[in-house]
Amino acid sequence: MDLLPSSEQEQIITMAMDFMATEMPLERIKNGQADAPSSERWEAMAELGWFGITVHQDLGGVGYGLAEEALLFRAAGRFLAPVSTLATSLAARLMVTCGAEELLSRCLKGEVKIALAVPETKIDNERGRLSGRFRIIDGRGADFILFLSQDQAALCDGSLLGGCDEKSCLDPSASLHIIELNGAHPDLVDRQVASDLYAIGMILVAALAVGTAEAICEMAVTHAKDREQFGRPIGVFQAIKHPCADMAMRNEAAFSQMCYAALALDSCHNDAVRQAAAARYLAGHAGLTNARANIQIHGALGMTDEFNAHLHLKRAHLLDVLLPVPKGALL
Amino acid sequence: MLLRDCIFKIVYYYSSVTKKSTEKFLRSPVMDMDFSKQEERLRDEIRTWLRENIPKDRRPLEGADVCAYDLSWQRKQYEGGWAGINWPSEYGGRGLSLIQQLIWYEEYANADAPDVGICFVGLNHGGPTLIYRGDEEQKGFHLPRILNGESIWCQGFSEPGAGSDLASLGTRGRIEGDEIVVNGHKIWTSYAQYADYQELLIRTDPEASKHKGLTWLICDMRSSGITVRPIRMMTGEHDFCEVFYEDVRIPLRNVVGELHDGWSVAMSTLSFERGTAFLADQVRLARTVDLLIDLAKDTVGPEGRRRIDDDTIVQSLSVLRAQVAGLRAMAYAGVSRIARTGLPGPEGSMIRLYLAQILQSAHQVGMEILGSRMLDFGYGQQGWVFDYLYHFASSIGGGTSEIQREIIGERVLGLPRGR
Repeated sequence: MDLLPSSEQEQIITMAMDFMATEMPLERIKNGQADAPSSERWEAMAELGWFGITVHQDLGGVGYGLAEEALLFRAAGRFLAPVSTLATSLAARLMVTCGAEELLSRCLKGEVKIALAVPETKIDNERGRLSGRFRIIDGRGADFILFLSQDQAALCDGSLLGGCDEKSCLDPSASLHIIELNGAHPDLVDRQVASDLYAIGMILVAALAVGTAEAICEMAVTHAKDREQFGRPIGVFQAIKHPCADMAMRNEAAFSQMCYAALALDSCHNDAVRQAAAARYLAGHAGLTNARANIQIHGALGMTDEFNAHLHLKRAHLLDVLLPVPKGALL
Repeated sequence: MLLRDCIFKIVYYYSSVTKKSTEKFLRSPVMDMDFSKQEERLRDEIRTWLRENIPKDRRPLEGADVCAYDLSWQRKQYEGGWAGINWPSEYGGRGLSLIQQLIWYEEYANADAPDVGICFVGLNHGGPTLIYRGDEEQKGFHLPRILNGESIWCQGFSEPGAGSDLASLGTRGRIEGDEIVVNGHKIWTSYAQYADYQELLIRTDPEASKHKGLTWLICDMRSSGITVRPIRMMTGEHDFCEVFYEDVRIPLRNVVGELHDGWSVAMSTLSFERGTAFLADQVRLARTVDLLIDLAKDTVGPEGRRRIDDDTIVQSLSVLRAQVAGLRAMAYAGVSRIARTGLPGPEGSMIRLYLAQILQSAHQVGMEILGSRMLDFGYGQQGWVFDYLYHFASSIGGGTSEIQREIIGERVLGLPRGR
């Protein structure tokens, strides 16, 4: 039993962080422009091995486990990586289980970008067809849309968004479309793997949230060390220091639980879904709570559009509605 | 560099995970949630032993009965070979790892075994501090006695004027020949009325600065000049005591570590308390949340519905379940960190802070579930209300939550010191 990253995993973390810092620095989100990665950048992500990180090597993937994938998404979360990376990684798994090898190989090459559907109410998926009102995250330029609930995983063609206007999204890094479906036919659909895929999705959302929660804590600590009032760095004062300590505590719990749940799910432990739900809850809560406290620590600066604190708050709210913990899943 | 460039390492990684026997070939630890075959065998052994040996009668609350009960249970564990699992074998321990000690705690809590009670300080502070800082004579005499239930220890750190600011303590020790003569006043000492020995922190060099000039001593509680006054707590227990010292003579050979170097010894005591002493509590807490869910199923509210059918109760219980899972993962990560570094670090304060929060919110939910039934409480009556009152201690004892946040802020996050 050892719940800390190994030196090999530390290398993955470093590699992922270097990649994000070069390819997708936070500055890209400024000026109110939604971040739709160019096809070059998307291919660079694919080239890194991102979308097939857990796909078997025989199918063109990297062949890592869920723990390594979660560490990658945690690094991505720090840089507010597009939600389409999450949807694409999850969809690649669906392509594997549906035997859609050609689509999978295009996906692993970075030729396919996938958006994520957020249901406004419960997804109605009678006889495999989809109905209901959905918010589509990162739909701009998406080839497919992933609809994921605990009882059905479906991939629909991106043309569903045809004729639908892009809306502005609370999280300025994401693009948003709202669609109404009335018995849409998915291109790929699977009911068997849906609950597993949902649990994996909860862990990856947790990983994105852990990353953002950790970045927020570092931002707050840096400010607390640099900013001086009453002739001293404000981090001396308990009213500032203690909220920072609470952030670190929440991050430690969420990160440890993310690792534990990823390992539990990979080795099919019988309470793995509950562990995933716990990770999802703790990380989501850490992201939101830290983001709010961080704005208070930054004072007026935290309220501006020019400083990044609001980007993390808005991202935390976006993550909060992605693959939420199903009611009763923790009891 | 690409993720797939690591593939060579990963093949190596997975082969090591699937074949446990290759563990010794690993160059570094691998992230792994499972316990080894050897550890699982130990778990089975523990489970069987506990099933057959746990005392059948309930732990009494106080008086001579509680001493007899706790000590005889400790002796039984010692005779069974389960005392001090991670203590060195030359002093009566098993010489196993902290992970194996953790397995014991997990099974201990799952078996609803009695609270460690009056043996807490000896097993969790005094003992570990002696192992780390004591001399051969001190270790050889005291460690086996702590393990076999022969001696009870208590703590003498806090004073009426020195709580969170522990280093400002004023109990003095004057060196006379080969003795230290102690005068002063300690407080919040649990079980002082029953204890044989005390870990006593005093000022021996009044000229030195606040943190220098302190000494960590083993004090024999039967020495003349010691007066103990028990203090009743809001639960009705007489756990706490005040201890008064009037010309108490303690031999110099009872100094642990160097004379005037008591602060660093006390800090190692506290790092054990923050880092490992609460492993058992986190496991027990998961069990408490299970019992809370049962309570919500068995309790009918004023509207005639079971409390478990109330959405706000379900939400509170779900959050607790998630937090308890997170706490366990954090404890596992903490144990992994100690296994790599050898000593508990400041990260233990995060576990301690989180534990206190969850313990308190769990018992608040308990009060909510009980509704008006919570009023049926008399001093000393064990149950949810007693535990609710008792757990106000979790954010005060062993360093307040505010002090834990100071440690996290300064030593984990590197924020500037304010004191």
